[in-house]
Amino acid sequence: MKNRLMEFRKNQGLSQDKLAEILQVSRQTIISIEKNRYSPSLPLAFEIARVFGVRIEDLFIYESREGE
Amino acid sequence: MDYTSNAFKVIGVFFLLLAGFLIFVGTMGGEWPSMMWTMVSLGILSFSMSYLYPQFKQKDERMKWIRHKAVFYSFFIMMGIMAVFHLMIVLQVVTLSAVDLLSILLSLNIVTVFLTMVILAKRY
Repeated sequence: MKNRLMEFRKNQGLSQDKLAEILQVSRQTIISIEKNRYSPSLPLAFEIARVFGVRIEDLFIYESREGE
Repeated sequence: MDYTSNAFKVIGVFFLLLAGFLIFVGTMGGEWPSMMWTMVSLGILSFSMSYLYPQFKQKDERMKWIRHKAVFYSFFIMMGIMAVFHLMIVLQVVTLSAVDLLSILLSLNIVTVFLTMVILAKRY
C-alpha cells in the first residue's frame, strides 16, 4: 500500500518528530510508513488521515493484487 | 536525559568481561565452562537492547509488530538449529553433556530473538 504521507506532512509544515508526537508513535514508524516499508494498521491510518483533515483514500493508495 | 541506552552498553561490557574471565579460568583449569555461552548471549542481549530501547520505550504498533515477527522468525530458526544439533549428536560429530547442550541452546535462543529484533528494527 503506497501513501502520500510525506507530501501531506510537508504541505502542513510538520516535521517527522512533530507528527510522531501528535500520533504518539516513534519517529521510526513515520519514516517506515513514508518509505512504504511498513503499512500502518487501520486505526493508525485513520488517525493520520484525521490529523491532515483528509479522507483515508486521499492519503493511502491501495493497489490490488493481480488476479483479484 | 535518558541514560538507559548507555546503561545497557555498560551491562553488555560487564557480561563480556565476565565471559572472558570464565574462559580464562576455564582454560587455566582445563575445563571449558558451559556458563560462558550464557554470559556471551547476555552481553549480546544487552548491546541489542541498547540499540532497541529508544524504539522499544515508545510502545507503538511498529515495535509490537517487530516483537511479534522476531518471535515468529526465531521459532523457525531455533527449529533449524535444534535439528542441526540433533543430527550432529546422533552422527556423533560432537559429544555434549546435557548441561552444555542446554546452555548452548539457551544462549542461541537469546541471541536469535534479539538479533532478529535488531535486524527487523533496522529494516523496517
